[in-house]
Amino acid sequence: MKRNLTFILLLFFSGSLFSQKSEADSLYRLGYEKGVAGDWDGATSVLLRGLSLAEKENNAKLLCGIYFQLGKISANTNNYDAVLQNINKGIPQCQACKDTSGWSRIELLKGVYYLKFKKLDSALVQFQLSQNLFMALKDTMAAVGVLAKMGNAYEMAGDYVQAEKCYLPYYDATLNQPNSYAHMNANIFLAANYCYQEKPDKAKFHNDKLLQLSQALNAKFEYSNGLRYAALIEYHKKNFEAAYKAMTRYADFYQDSLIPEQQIKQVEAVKAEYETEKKDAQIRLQEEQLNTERLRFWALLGGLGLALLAGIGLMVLIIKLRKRNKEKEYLIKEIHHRVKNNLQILSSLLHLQSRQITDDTALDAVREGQNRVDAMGLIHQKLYMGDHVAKVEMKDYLQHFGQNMLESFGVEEGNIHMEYDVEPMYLDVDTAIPLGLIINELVTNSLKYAFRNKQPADQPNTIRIRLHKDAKNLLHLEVADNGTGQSAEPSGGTGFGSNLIKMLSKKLKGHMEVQQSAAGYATRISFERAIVD
Amino acid sequence: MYSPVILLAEDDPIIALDLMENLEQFPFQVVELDGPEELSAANSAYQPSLIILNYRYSEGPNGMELARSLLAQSSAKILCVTGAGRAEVESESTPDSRLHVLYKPFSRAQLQSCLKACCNATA
Repeated sequence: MKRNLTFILLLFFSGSLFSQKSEADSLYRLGYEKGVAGDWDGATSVLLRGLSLAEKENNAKLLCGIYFQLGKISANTNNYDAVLQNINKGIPQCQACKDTSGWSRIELLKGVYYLKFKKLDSALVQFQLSQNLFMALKDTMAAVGVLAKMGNAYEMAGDYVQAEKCYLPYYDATLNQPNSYAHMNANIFLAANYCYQEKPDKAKFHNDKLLQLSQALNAKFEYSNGLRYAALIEYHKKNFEAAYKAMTRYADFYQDSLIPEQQIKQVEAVKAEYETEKKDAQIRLQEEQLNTERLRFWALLGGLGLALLAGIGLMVLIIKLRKRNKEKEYLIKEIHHRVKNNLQILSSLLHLQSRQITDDTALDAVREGQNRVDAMGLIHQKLYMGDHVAKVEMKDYLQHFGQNMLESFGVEEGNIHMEYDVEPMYLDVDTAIPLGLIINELVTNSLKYAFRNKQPADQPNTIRIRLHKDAKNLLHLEVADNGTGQSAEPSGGTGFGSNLIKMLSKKLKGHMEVQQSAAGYATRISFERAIVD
Repeated sequence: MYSPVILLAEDDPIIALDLMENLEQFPFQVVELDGPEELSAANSAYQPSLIILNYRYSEGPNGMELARSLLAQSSAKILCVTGAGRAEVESESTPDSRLHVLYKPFSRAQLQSCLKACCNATA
């Protein structure tokens, strides 16, 4: 009885113990199965329930296994932060329970993690550690399996030769399982590796086996890879037509076949990434265009601003120049005003003095001086009055001059006529003044001497002034009278007037000719100095 | 005997003297003023027949403005003696038959002609 009770109690407690142990373990196994089936969410949920139980039990071995499975699921779902978390939690558990097998698997998973992030050196270290652990467990198959991962790492680093050295032992180890996934994977690795090394014959050997095995195992993804490698192999053999056909078969198979959900997800992920990148690129382009437009706008605004500033500056300059010109004009007017005033003072002085002189000779001298001043004064009078400030219109000037001379000498009206044969022309001051003085002397001579003692005649007494320019713009002057041909006092006189004529003619580079006869006295002067009109 | 009066407000003494000597030929009393500022009062006092002034004085009022003012106040003729250019003077002057201008440097003939025009008509 006591033995039966003890047995029943043992059975009860062992059953309860077994059931508790079995629940965590069952959850672990269930999670494992769900993971293999690809039900990641279901697997994760179950495994987490198992994890909490295992933690309560402080079952390090089970914890090691659960963390490993969770890490695998995280890797398959690309949640690599969770991969690292599970690895780092799992490794201490494996070490604690001295679960070398679990530990080696977790170290292998850590290597896969590093491989994902292309930390190839770290990945190789992990794979080597994992392989050593598997070797310690005498799990040759697992150790050789690690070689495949190491080959992946070397291939990623571009060291295809070293990768081949890793793949070959793995291939040899799977020869005893010729219809297994492992052997199919070994052929995939080597087919790809020999394609990278451009060894088409070796690649073809393994690729043909890949195609055969993948068809047998209904591994469509691996089969499509085989078609792709077949095209590459033909390409490396320079059988381009065959390569094209092979690529076409691959493209058709890829389109028509049922692509695993993972591939679809990958494609959609890539597509989404592409679309996002495309949109980002469009946004960037639009932003660039906007920036360019903004830049153009500001450049245009800046340009307009500069143009406006330049325009304002130009206007200010023009205003300043105009103001300066006006000031200069005003100054010139003032100078002319003062010159004319001074000439008037001079003329007035001479006139006033002449009223005090009783001596005829002296009086003549003063009056002649006054006439000279008046001749110059008339130039200035006409100079400012004309449109051309610095030039004198000679026809107008000579007509006024002639009238003044007649009145100055008190010639009665009709007694002497002044005739003018003057071409309309403008002369500058430097020419007009000496010319005016020359003409003054010549007319004075005629007025004083030409008609003295002249017998009354049919022809009236005439003094003619001719002034013309030729085709070369050289000036020709003639002052002639129809008097007795006398030009000076019989006694000779002082000759001052004649000297003055000669000096002034020389100044104007003139050549003088005199024609003297009983019919009159004529002086002709041709000036070589060109006239500026 | 009453003689018509000519007021003379020429600021240059030499030219003033010259003008006065030329005016002696005419039967006028010439009253020489010290400056243009006396013109208005002298005009009221003397009721002149002719006023001779400058277009521009070194100090004091503008001659043409004075001339316009005097033309408005009296029936006297005005003779403006000036060294300025014709264009400048004509631009400022008011067309009036009583206003005459003599441009410096004038000749004896021009002076005589101008004075005759002013005085003979006045006389």
